[in-house]
Amino acid sequence: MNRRQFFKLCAAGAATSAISALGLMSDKAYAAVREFKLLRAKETRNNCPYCSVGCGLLMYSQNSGGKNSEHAIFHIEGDSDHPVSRGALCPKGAGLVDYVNSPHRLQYPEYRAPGSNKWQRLSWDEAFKRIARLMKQDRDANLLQKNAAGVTVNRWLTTGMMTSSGMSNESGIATQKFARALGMVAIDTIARN
Amino acid sequence: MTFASEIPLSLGDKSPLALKPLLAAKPQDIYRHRAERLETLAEGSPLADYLKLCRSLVATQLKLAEAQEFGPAPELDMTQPMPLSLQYTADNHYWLVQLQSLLSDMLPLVPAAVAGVIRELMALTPEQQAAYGNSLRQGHLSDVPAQYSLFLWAALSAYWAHWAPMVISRMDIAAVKQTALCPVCGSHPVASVIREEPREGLRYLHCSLCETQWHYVRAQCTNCDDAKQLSLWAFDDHQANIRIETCDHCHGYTKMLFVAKDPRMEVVADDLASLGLDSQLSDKGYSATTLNPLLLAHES
Repeated sequence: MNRRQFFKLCAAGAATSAISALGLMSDKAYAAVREFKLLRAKETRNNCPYCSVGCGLLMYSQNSGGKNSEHAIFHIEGDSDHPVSRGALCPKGAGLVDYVNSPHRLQYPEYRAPGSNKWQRLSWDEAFKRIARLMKQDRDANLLQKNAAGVTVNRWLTTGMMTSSGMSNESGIATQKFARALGMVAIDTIARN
Repeated sequence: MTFASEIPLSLGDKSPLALKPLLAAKPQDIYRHRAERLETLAEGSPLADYLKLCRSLVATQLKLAEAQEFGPAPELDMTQPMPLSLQYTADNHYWLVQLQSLLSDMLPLVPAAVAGVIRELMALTPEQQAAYGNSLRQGHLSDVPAQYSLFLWAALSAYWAHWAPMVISRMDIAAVKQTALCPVCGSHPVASVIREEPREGLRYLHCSLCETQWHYVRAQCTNCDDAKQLSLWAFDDHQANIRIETCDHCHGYTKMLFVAKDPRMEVVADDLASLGLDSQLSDKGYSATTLNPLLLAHES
């Protein structure tokens, strides 16, 4: 019996609302008082990736124009419905929109040679190759296969790994497996910054 | 230092920040606020005459609420969801008493043309008035002559708003689910209200009939539950106090009133005074999923 319905709210039609039927409808009722600009924002729910609390966020973005163009985020606020953070954000979370739009964001791999004060840009391919080569070199030289008592330990103590906090459980376990399989002991995440 | 075990998650939560699924109305406070706001908004409005008529109507509802003559409490089946919905209360005609006193109180306050309408409505048989009332509650607004609907709804609303808080106090709050229609009486909402309490930023839908507010998660369509294709529209300023949330899944919309940003706003009055925004979104192909008791636009 309780049926959801849509209602017609527009100037057209003679007596389709109480105002018009009572003869008190003004032509201007549905018109804006002056020329307003109608703005549209896309509304999305997300989580803050900057620590392990994962506070709830509401994010608002604007289409920069064109059908497939990217949405630019212009406002982020705490999600009051989130059962843990309940709408609150820490200073880092409250500044999220500035991180997202920061001109200083790292957008590609860069490399600074020992002793140099200049960063040079690398392709992702070059970066991966270089990281893999250096990791292998260091691991081949420093992997501790057995401890003093002769027990196999396979520890690699000379390299550590700082991982992202913006990860699902699944990417978390994949990262853990990757690092531990290499024998790495020092692993941390930026969630603790 | 906060321990995880101290973070309240359940409905038994005693924290002042705990989410309350239902907020019972205080009808007298609502009518006072609404009448005051209608008076303010009437100044310089293209709808000034109508808003003044509505102000008198709300002041008359306030008189009814103060008089407290609502007859015997309705008999209800509290085991059902929406215990006050039409399904269980279609035979309850005590509200016709409210209608008669509302109409006779309004008669001296209105222009001649409107007084004629009130006299016609008073002359109808109680059966006809009751049948019109039930059609309105069912959402069949086009079955009722549009000039009567404003007064019929005002009397219905004064009656059910009186009983709703009593019903809420007896409802199992833990069993209340997030719904598109009022969990107490099954009516459409007026609009979304973004409140400061119990915690800032929570969205409540305000019932067009019993004035109850019920919680509904933000950034989710209040009509079809979709959460993927929502937009917020506003005039000139993305952070405006009045915005509209549209859904590209069901093509419905709800107005969003950020009363936390301006506590002078009142849901029914400000929704009515911002029809300019509705008309822009109608032009873009969206339909209202909400019902304003002072507008009562026909269903589509």
